[in-house]
Amino acid sequence: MNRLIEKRGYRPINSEDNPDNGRKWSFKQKLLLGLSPKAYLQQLLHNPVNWALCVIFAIGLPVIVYRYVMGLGGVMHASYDYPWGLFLGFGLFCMVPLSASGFLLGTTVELFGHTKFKPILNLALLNGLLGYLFAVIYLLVDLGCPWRLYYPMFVSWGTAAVLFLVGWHVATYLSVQIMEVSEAFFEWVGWPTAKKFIHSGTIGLTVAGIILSTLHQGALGTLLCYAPGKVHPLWYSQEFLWIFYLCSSVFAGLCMVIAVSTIIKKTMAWRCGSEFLENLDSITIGLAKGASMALVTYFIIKIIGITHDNEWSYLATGWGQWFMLEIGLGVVLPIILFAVGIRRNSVALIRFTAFLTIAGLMMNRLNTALITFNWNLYQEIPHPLETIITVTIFALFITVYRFILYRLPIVYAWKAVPEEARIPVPVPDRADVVTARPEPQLTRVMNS
Amino acid sequence: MRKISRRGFFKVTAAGSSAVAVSSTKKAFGMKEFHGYPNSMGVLVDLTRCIGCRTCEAACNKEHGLPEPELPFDDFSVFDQVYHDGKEKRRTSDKAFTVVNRYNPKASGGEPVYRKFQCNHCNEPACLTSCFVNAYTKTKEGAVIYNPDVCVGCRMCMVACPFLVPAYTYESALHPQIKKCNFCYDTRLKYGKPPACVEACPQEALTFGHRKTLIKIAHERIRENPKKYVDHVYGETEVGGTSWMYLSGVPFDQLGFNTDLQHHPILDNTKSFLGFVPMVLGIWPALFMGFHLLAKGGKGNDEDKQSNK
Amino acid sequence: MKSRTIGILGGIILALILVSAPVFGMDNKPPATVMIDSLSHLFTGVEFDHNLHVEITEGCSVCHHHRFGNGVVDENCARCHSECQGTFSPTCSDCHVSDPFTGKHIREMEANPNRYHIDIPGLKAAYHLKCLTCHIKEEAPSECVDCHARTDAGNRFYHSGKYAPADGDKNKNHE
Repeated sequence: MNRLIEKRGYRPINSEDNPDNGRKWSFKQKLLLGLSPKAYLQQLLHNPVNWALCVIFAIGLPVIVYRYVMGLGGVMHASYDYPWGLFLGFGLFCMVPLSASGFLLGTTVELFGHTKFKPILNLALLNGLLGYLFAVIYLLVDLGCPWRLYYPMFVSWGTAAVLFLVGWHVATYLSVQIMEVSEAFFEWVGWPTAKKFIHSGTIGLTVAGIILSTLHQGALGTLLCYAPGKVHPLWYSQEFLWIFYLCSSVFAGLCMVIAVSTIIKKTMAWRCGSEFLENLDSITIGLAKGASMALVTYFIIKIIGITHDNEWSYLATGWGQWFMLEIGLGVVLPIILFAVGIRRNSVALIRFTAFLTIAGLMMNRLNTALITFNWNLYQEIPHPLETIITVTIFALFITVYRFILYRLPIVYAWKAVPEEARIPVPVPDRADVVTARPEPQLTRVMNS
Repeated sequence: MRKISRRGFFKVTAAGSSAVAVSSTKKAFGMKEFHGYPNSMGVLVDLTRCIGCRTCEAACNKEHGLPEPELPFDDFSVFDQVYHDGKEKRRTSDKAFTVVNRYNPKASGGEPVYRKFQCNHCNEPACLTSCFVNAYTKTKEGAVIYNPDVCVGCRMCMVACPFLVPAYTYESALHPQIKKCNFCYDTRLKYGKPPACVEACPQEALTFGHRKTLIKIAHERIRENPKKYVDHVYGETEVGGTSWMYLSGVPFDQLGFNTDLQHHPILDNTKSFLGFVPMVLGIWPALFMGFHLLAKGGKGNDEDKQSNK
Repeated sequence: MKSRTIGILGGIILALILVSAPVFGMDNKPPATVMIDSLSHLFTGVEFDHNLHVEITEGCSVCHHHRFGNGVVDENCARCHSECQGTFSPTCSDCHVSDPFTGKHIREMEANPNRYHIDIPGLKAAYHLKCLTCHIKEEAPSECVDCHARTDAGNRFYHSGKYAPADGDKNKNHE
């Protein structure tokens, strides 16, 4: 893409009309980013990331097929002691907190009216939507009978179960997020009425997002309260596990936005709108402030949790050292680095710290759900094929994420053409007949 | 106007009292704690009687039509089988719903002690309460049974089971399901008969009866032979009580029993959070709408228009 | 199939019923041998050498707790039965029922809440608990087949002998 911009003066689609000829972009053109099919294919082939993804898919997709043909036993250790592996340990327990961004920035911008964060709102919403969507996709791989995914909704209700709550909330919240992100989609596809309709319900959707997120982020932690002896005491807390999970999802979601926006800025600058690029540094610092507050809170309640259950003696064991490593690298160090970064206005340091915090959070989730699970039995290393599938689905996540970012107005603002300004011109069949139309050009100038 | 006859009066009274009876039953079900059905059956496993003959395993295999075992049921080399670097002995699987293991605990001077185990059929089972499609049922006879037709295959029950009992047919692509002891509910228990393993045991290491009576029997055995038994009935209170209970001559932790279990149902661990749910649903909307109105302070609409541009 | 299974398992219980009718003749002399042979299904019958066991044990009460003249041995029994003069019949099956876990028997045991003896082993267990405890302690033969040979049905039940799993044989180190 960068090559296209440098060499051929490519301008990405950012409004309803093609600035070169003043005609409306067709859906196909929008899909192809305004390029000819040949040019589109060329830019695909030029991008080394695509090649890497292709290699992953070439290996991973057959493994996924193999999983559905042979059953879970073909790709997992089929352990009765470790019923959950990476699919849930990573796919559900890590993806969900990292997708808390949607409700956090929704609350900040829509509810508290901090319009400073507006340029990053759509990215946070999309990050949330895709995170949840892929958590469900991981679930579809992990469930023994994925075709029964709707059973807890429509067939048989286990209302007393925490997982019932998680299932319903993730499903509902996914719908809420689809609606929130659909605003950008309607804008891109050119249905302003639908966009307006969704926009009128923003506050309702945002509040629904807060409720659902509070509950299911916490509920994920509560899931492990069913396994009190199996999760190591240092990671377990009957009273507080849900608060730990909720609180850590706050900094996880915020850091995920910092991390994703960093990657976008580095690799997709051509797609970013000026509003996004110009404000990103100050937004990042703002997000870091929020994240460090959550980190400090998390650190305090973690200490309260250990004190409450009097687990200090465990710290002297090997597991205790592992725990302290997790807290040290994933919580204490980020608190210090964020503080330094914010004080010195060092966005680079903040960005690095965001990645570190995400790694720390993933370590925490994997520790609780997988690594320290059955701490007094034996430890199990995930099956190689299980790891391959996990990586493949994450690659799919990246692919879809990028596909949407290239097109929908997520990190750039869609330039709306006021209806009354557009002069209805009969569209000729062949593009080369009409070479210039002054009126739409004019409106664009006026509008910008 | 209709005169209320004497008979009619009795009818009304009867209806009224039955309504009271019904409502009091409802009250009983509305209790915060469930300690099992009053006439729940159970089995008392007296490990001092078990000789490790594995006849129970054979009976279970036959009763449930399970696949042929790898080794004959009279092959005692299975007691030497260890897994995961010698840390684990044999466990229940999709092919064996009950397993007998041999231990050589310190307390018995290295003399072998055999331990049979299977699903303990908890009074308030964690598998049941953690299942989001209600695939498990605790029958009034005490069995915890499973319905594969609604199971989605999330394996939460396996995570939740404090005794590591449920197994899963991972290798099945189309009909994977949980496999575990069902107290022979379909074939025996519901007809008032003891499970196959109990009937087959030559030593009556397994005593079948009402759970309440079994607890009395267990304590009486301990009282009469205080030197023979450890003064504890495993399963009487563990995780809120189980239908299958154990007596042992050596400390339970030396026989692979988890002695760190809580003495109230696993479900209780989630109650504080679940209680918080309706509060969030009730309070959050007004709370956050309030914050919203405060934050916007009346100028919200203008900003909305601006940012909307 | 199901009825067959039930039948076989029922057989295991019935198999252990003592044929005890003329244990004591009119002359009050103990029998030389007792045939425990209803064990027809999974195991063949046991020809119990009563004389041998009379010789090697210290007294009848070692096995028959409803003793003959030599006092109550078990101190738990003595708490109530020290003055007892013995029972009319020494037959095990008079107290130890062959199927102790039927609904009827369980109800019977629970009918009187004051009943003390609610924990009476069934007949099969009474035998095995008495015999085997001693046999293990005295290092007498204590494998199942040491006392009663297994029938074909028994081999099938245990997946043993000619019914042994194909792969199982080579791992087998115990006979």
